[in-house]
Amino acid sequence: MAATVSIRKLTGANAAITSTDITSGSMRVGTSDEATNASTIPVPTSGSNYSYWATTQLNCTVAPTNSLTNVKWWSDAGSFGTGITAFVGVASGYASAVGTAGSSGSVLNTSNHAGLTGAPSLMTTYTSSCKLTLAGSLGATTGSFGYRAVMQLDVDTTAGAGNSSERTITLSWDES
Amino acid sequence: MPLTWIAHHSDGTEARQSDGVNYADLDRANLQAFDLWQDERLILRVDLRADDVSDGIEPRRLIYRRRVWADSNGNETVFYLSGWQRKVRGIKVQAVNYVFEADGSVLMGGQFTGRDFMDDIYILPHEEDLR
Repeated sequence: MAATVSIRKLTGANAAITSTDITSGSMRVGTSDEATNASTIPVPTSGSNYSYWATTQLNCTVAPTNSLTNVKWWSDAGSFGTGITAFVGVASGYASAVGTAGSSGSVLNTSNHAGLTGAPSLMTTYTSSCKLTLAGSLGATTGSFGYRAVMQLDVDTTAGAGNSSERTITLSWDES
Repeated sequence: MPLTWIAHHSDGTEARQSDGVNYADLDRANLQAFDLWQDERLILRVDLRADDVSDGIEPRRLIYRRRVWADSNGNETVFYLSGWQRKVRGIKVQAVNYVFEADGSVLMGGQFTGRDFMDDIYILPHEEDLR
């Protein structure tokens, strides 16, 4: 039988992570650490406001015969809209999203996020022809696997009010 | 409808995924052919019989994976990589087919390019012959 894998959004405190299945639905980011985010990101009058970073990871609930490997992540390279820049980083460990609720998340960087393996990149860097590799694998067992993809939106003064455009994120993995 | 594999060895024996045979336990050096079946239909057979291995050409070795693409809109695409790799004067050469689970169609690719679904594979412990 083939493995069963879902895409999860991770929220909550480091010691009590909530893992929410987002495989069949969209994922929103705002200015709070929520599995289903309904908060907004205020358009600033100067500088930028940031979303709380959003952490995603793959989770296996029906084990493969041998392994799940070769995890990749990419976007459709589209724009979220004027004044909105999207970033993605790779994290070997989880760190709860922090910031000032209702106002701005803390900037996603290696100082604020202890698990990041390096500085985040523009989300548009990673496409189907230039995928982001998420290290890690899973043997013949169940559980989370692969490094986490951590995303954040940077909203500047030129952004317009209202919902941003939606973008499609894709993950892939190999099973043997 | 998922695809399942049948491996044919050079001694005439078969190993079937549907019988619970583990891909990791295949005798990779003595494979004659590797099939992908969808229900009762043979979709693809990869010929792995020994051929000319003179002048720096090494034997062909099986490449197989079930690859999944899952997007944030809830769409999932499953395809199977089935082909071979050999070294020619030290350089890896691949011939990989991509079989789409949705309709059994086959795309014959070549080298791993990293474009679209043609990513390289992560070599597993029992696939040291692919290094």
